[in-house]
Order: sequence, then structure tokens, then C-alpha cells
Amino acid sequence: MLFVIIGCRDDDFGNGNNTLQPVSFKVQTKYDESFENKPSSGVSVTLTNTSTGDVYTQTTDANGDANFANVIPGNYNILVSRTMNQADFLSTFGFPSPSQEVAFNGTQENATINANVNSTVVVLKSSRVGDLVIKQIYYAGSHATQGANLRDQFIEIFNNSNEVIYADGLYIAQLYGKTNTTVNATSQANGQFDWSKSLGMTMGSAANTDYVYADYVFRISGTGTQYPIQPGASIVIAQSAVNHTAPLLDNSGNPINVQNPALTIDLSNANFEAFLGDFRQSIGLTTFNTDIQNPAVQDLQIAFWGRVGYYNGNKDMILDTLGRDSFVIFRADNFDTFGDYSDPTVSVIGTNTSFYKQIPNSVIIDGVELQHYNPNSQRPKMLQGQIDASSINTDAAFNSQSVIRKVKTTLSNG
Amino acid sequence: MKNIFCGLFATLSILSYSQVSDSVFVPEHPYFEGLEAQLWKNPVQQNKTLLKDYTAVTLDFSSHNLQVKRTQTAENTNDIGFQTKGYYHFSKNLKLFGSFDYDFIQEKNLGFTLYSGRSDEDFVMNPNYLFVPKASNWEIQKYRIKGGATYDFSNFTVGALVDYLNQSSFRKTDPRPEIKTADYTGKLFAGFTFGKHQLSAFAGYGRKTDNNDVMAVNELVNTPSNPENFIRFSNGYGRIVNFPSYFEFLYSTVLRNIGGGYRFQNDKLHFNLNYAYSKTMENIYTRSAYNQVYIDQDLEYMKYREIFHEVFGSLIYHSENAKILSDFGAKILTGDNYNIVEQGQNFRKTWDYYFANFTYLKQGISGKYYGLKLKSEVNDFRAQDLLGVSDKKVQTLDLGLQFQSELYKNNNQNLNAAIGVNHYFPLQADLAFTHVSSSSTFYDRVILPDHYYDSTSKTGVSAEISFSDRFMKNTSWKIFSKFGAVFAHQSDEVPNQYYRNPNVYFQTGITFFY
Repeated sequence: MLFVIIGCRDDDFGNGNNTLQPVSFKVQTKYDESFENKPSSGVSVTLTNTSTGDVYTQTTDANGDANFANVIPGNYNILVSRTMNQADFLSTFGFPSPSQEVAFNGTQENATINANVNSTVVVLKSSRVGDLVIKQIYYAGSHATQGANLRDQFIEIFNNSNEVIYADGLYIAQLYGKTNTTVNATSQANGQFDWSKSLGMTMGSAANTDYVYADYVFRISGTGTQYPIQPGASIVIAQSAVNHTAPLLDNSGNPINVQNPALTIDLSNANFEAFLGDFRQSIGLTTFNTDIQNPAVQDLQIAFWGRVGYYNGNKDMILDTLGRDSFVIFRADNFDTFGDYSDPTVSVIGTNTSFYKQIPNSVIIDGVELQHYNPNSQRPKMLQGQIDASSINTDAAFNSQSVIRKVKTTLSNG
Repeated sequence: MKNIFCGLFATLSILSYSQVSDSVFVPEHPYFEGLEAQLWKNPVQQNKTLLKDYTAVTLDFSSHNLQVKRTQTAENTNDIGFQTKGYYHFSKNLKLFGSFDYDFIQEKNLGFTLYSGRSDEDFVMNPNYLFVPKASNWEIQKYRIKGGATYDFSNFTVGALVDYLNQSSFRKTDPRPEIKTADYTGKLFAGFTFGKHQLSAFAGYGRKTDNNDVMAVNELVNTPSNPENFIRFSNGYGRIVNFPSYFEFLYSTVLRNIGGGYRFQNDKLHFNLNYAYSKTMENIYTRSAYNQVYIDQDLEYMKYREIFHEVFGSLIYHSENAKILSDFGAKILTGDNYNIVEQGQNFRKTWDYYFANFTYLKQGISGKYYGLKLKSEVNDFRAQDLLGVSDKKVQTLDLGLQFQSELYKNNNQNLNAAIGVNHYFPLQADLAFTHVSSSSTFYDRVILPDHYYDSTSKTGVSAEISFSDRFMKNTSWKIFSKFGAVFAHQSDEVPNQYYRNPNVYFQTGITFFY
């Protein structure tokens, strides 16, 4: 298989034989400090080549090592995951599991594998199995002329427990991050913003590992027991809680016709809607034309739309149809004390600077990492592996598809 | 001036009886255009060429309808061309020559490339290029300016060539790349003549940039779920990878070459032999973090290098009633890619190419010319992709024969006709391919059909006719037409749906000489 070098002594490509050959690579895995950094044996390790999509899978040995014998050099996303039942948990750590199942995840993005880099270490953290989970995100929208374009976007949140949970006070955040994997002076190794370099940031690398950053945050209002979610039931949060399959009038009185109602959905029975009209008028802006309010549906509160005086640009709850958003839900009593920061590419704050709310991972109940549907346009993760180890996407934009989480179990204790 | 030309396949003993002839006027016969082509290979070796001064302006139209072709070649190509060229003795020692070409080309139904290269030029295309399966029409505009000069200082001769090509290529349906190509090369020559011998040396440098800007992409269909429109990147021959900078990137290619030549010349004979070493290094530069594309080492993404050793020469002979021109050569080429991210190469191309052409032109008693032209070409080609995984080997022999005759001739008018036949013999065509990707599209629709093409015997026929008329002392015009067809021979190895119709070629035009 090796090329025979004949008639050519030019050393343009470095010394020696440059033929791309598979190399051996070792992924050392261990649980985090909460589990005394024990080696994680029997976990599945997946390497995905970011350039070709080639996938390699191995299971770790007793030392926590996954040894890959033949890997084509390149950049890889590494995903390590294991789900333990109570018996496995007890035998592994010597103390009882806090739940029937515990999922452990670890990730590393854009890891280099070549003849000079033959191993890496991935730390697994236990995933939080939330009582509430983001079940569905309909971000792609429907056909721009045949359907409802992006007016019919919505998010569904599911009660994953056996008990009634109240949605009151729940925050829903649309996260912000870099949209390409190019590495530069203001990025991390995986291409994501290095938030530790944002103006005014003083917490060092924890700014990247312990927080996420949101450009838009909604909050469900309520007294605390006003909006119950029954076990196994969902709430739907709509951009506009109207029947998108039927003709509508926009806020200027112009008709909105849907040529193919089958492409869209009736959201008039949604539980909540994001109506920005009041908020926008409060800051001297007009209501977005298609931000149609349904008085029968409770509006979300606008918890964050950028720093006061530096508001971010969306005119409604508009989800990126290309899949470049990620989402988290969380609860926090001290939301107003969370800081906001510009992204690290900003060196001088100007009138157009945007600021992003810093949300601690510790308060996050669930998160979903979306991804661009085009493998040529991948973006780095915003969420740590313990929140969402992988990512998901629709096949295209405006194709009436959503991403839906499969709910494996409903926990007895919430 | 004395005629010094001679031919390759004529024996020196025959040549020794040849008679010296007068200098030649390129418009007089198509044969003389072959002499003019020698100027561009090593002009200091041609410092005593007997070409008369002339200027020619040509407007022509050509059309190719191809059914027997490789995949990454258009089914139909129409080309409207304008050319002006000339050769001038500026003084006794200084000779100048040059040309300007403009072509407006329309290609129809071309798929699997968003790149300016085409597979009619090579057994496989450059290993690094964008493509979508969906075929589309293209529009190409080319400007090319070439110039050359030689100057004699006693026994020393110096020369120079410059060549500049500017090309814009547009694909007319989504995705719509706009590729702007600028290619310039310069070459310096020096020769020392001692008696009938001359030794010469030359060195050249060139730089070519291809700015690829995909002007319009319907991102809604640029997805794996729409494989016909999904933009992918070929990295080798069968290896398909993601390419984040697909909407804007550039190729920058640097050419360097060096070589030397020998010429023997007496009153009857001109013989030259040259050797050249050339290297091209192509770098692909992708977008920076700030969405800008420029030539910078940090933005290098992939490389492709070609090294070739080339030997070429010619024998030219002229007498009053017989003229011979032969050129011959060999090129040994090695192409290697290099992937910056993966720090290694997966693709290698080797191509050994040998050719010899022989043209004999005889002038009868009536003054009419009769010509015979023989062409031969041997290719030994191999392309390997270690990650693709493919190994393609092709050995071919091309033979051609053409007869030409002046059907009518008087002092001012000339009707010339030619007929020819050529045959392509696939001496060997092997393809080994291992599927390593879940998608077999590239193999099914590019690699395999191209293998069928290369393993198919083909016969071509051609006919040419031209009429020229001198309507002033030094001014004449010529109209010309060429017709050709290529027929594929059925083979058990090639499915029946291929090559049911022949290729058809047509060209017509008019030239003014003054």
C-alpha cells in the first residue's frame, strides 16, 4: 500500500514518508473527582472524523483505556458515554446510586490524531437526569411560501417524572456561540469562543467549563403552583400561539395565507407564547408584524434580551432555522445577579455591542445541543458533555421537521 | 535567408540531398503553423527560423457534442474565439512574436465539478476540488496574451517569453461558483552558438491563482438529504470530505522550471533536443476566522504538487519541394497531495507520456502541396488514493494518420483539404476500488464511467477544408471548416447504455493575414 517514491526528492511536505497511514490511538477515560477519578471501564468511546464523518467505536478496558488500532489521522470529536443501573453503580463506586439509572458522558471536540499525537484523556461527568426535559424543538420551520415559514416555531417541555411539576418560574434560554470551528486567538481549541477573554471576565477557564451564554432568555411567570405539568405530559411554548394552518392577518392587517396547511401546525392550544410586542414598545420599538398575540394564551416573560440599552436584535422568539442555537431550561432565584458579557472578539464596547447572559451549568435542568444540518458548516458545542454529550439536527431548514428526544423512562421519584 | 528545416523520420542521408528553400509565410499552408509553434518551446533555438513577418486575425466558432467522454466534461461545448497573432523581425537581431486570444465558451450539462478543470484534460482531475452531482451549464471567458522576443549578440542569443491568462468561469445554476483565474508565467532563455551547434539554458517562474467564490448557494438544499445538490469536496480519487470554506477559497499555484537544450543546425537541417525540470505547488487557502481569504500559511488547507521531467525536441527540414517537420518528446510526471490537517498524503498520480509526430509536405510540379501527417502518443497513467480507496491504471496508444492536398491553386487562391483517421487503443485499463463510504455516488457516477471510457477502443475520423485568397499584395483571407467524429467500439466490459452515439466536432472560421 505504500507509495514508492521515485524520481522525486523534493522535501516540500516535511521529512520522511508522508503517506497517510492509520495510526494507533488511545483514549484514557476516568470519572471526575466526584467519583475519585476512577478509571471508567466498560464505557463506549466513539471517534467521529470531523472531515469525513468516519466513525470508530471501542469499549474501554479495565484501566479505562480504549485502544484504537487503525485510525486515519485527522481531527475528531470524541464521545464517551455510559449508563449505569443501580447495581453497576454500587459495584463501581461502592455507594448507592441516587437514581435508577445514572448516565455518564465526556466529550472532546476537534481532537487531533496523527503520528505525533497518539493519546488523550477524557473525563466523564454524571449527567443530570432532569425532572423536566426539553422534548422537542421545532426550529426548522416550514416552507417559506407553502407553509408558515418560521412563524410556527415552538419548544415542547416534558415532565419526565411521576409527579406533578409546576412550570412556574422556569427559564428557557436560547444560547449563543460561535458558528464555525475555526480556531483563533479568541477561541478555545474546539473553535468555540474563549469566554475567559471577554471584557471584564475574571474567572479564567471556568468561564468556559462552568457556564453557558444566552442571547435571549424567557421565563414562565406564575405564583408557583399556577401552571402544573402532569407526569408524562408536556407544555408547548410557541413563537405565536395561533392556528398556522388557517389564514391569518398580521399586525398590519395584511393577510397571511398558507398554501399547504399540511406543512405546518395549529399552535392555538399552546400553553405559552412569546409575545414581544409589549417589551418592544417599552423600549421604543414597534411590534414585529408576525408576532401575533393570542390573548387566550399566557405570554412568557422576557427575562433577558441583551443588556439594558444594548438590546439584541431578534424581534420575536426566532429560532435559528439552520440549527446554530442550543437551548437550556433552568430555575434560578438569583437570575438578576447573573452577569452578562460581550463575546471575546469585542475589544471596545460600542453602541452596537451585544451582551450575553452567563448561566451557571449548576442550575441547568436540561439542555439540547443543535447542530447545522450541513456537515460542511459544523459549529462547536456550547454545552458541556454532562448536559448534552452529542448534538442533533434536522435534515434541512424549512422542511417541517423538528428534533425530538426519545424518553426512555419516567422516574418514580422525579 | 536560408532554409534550415528538416524532419525527424527522414534519414540524414536523404536530407543531405535536400535543397535550400526560401523563407516561409505561415498563412501559406497549415503545415507552417507547426513551425510557428516551435518558437514557444525554446525561442533562442529558433532564432534563425525562416518565418516571414505576418499578422493574422482569426474569428472562429467551434462546437463539440460529446457522448463518448469522461463524466467531468461537458456534453456540449460551444466556443467563439478571436485571435490575433504575429511574428516580426524588428531589426536584424531582434525578433518579436506574440498573440492575443479571447474565447467565449458555453458548456452544457456538466456535473460533478465546481472547479475550472475538466476531465478531458486528464485521466483524473486535480485531487482537490468542490463538486455537486447536479449537472449545469457553464459560461467561461478567457483572455490570453503571450509575447516573446529573441536578440542576437554575436554568438550569444537571449530570449524571453511571457504568458498571461485571465479567465472567468461561471456555473449558471445553483450552486453558482464564480472562479476568477489569473495565470502568468515568465521564462528567460540564453543560448551560445559555436559553429553548427548551440547550447541553451532556460528558467521560468509562474503563479496562478483561482479565486473560488460561490456566489449563490441555496442552503436549503445544500444538505446530505439532497445528495444531488449537496456540496462536497474531493480529496484524492474517491475520498470525499467536508469542506467548511466551500463558499470562498482560493488556489495559489507556483510554477518553477529550469532546463537546457542543444541545437544542431546547418543549411539543410535543424535538430533540437531539450530537457526541462518543472515543479508546480498548489496550495488551497480557506477563510480566516474573520471570513477573509488570502494567501497566508495559517490558512493553508491542502497542497498538491506535480513534478515533471520533460524531454522534447524537433527535426525540421525544408527543400523547395519537400518539407518535413517532426516533434517528439516524453514527460514523466508525479503528482502528490498533502493534507495539512492530517499531515500526510493519500493521493498519488504518475503519468508517463510519450509522443512523436511526423509531417511530410511535398510540392508537386503544379505547385500544389500534398501532405502526410502521422501522430503517435503513448500514455502510462496511474492514480492511487489510499483512503479513497482506489487504484486506477491506464495504458493507452493513440495513432493518427492524415492526408492533405491542395485541390486547387493559382497565384492568389488556394483550396486545401485534409482527411484523417485516428484510433485509441486501451492497452491496459484496471480499476481497483474499495467502498469505504456509505455513499457510492462518486464511484457509481464518476470513477466507474470514467473507467469505462478509458477502457473503450475509439476511432475518430476528421475532414478539413480551407480556402484562401490573396486580394492585395500582402493581404489575404482564409475561411476554414473542420469536422470530426469519434466512435466507441462496443466492449463486453462496458454496459450497453454507454456510447450509443458518436462524438461530433465542428469548427469554422475566417482569418485575415496581412
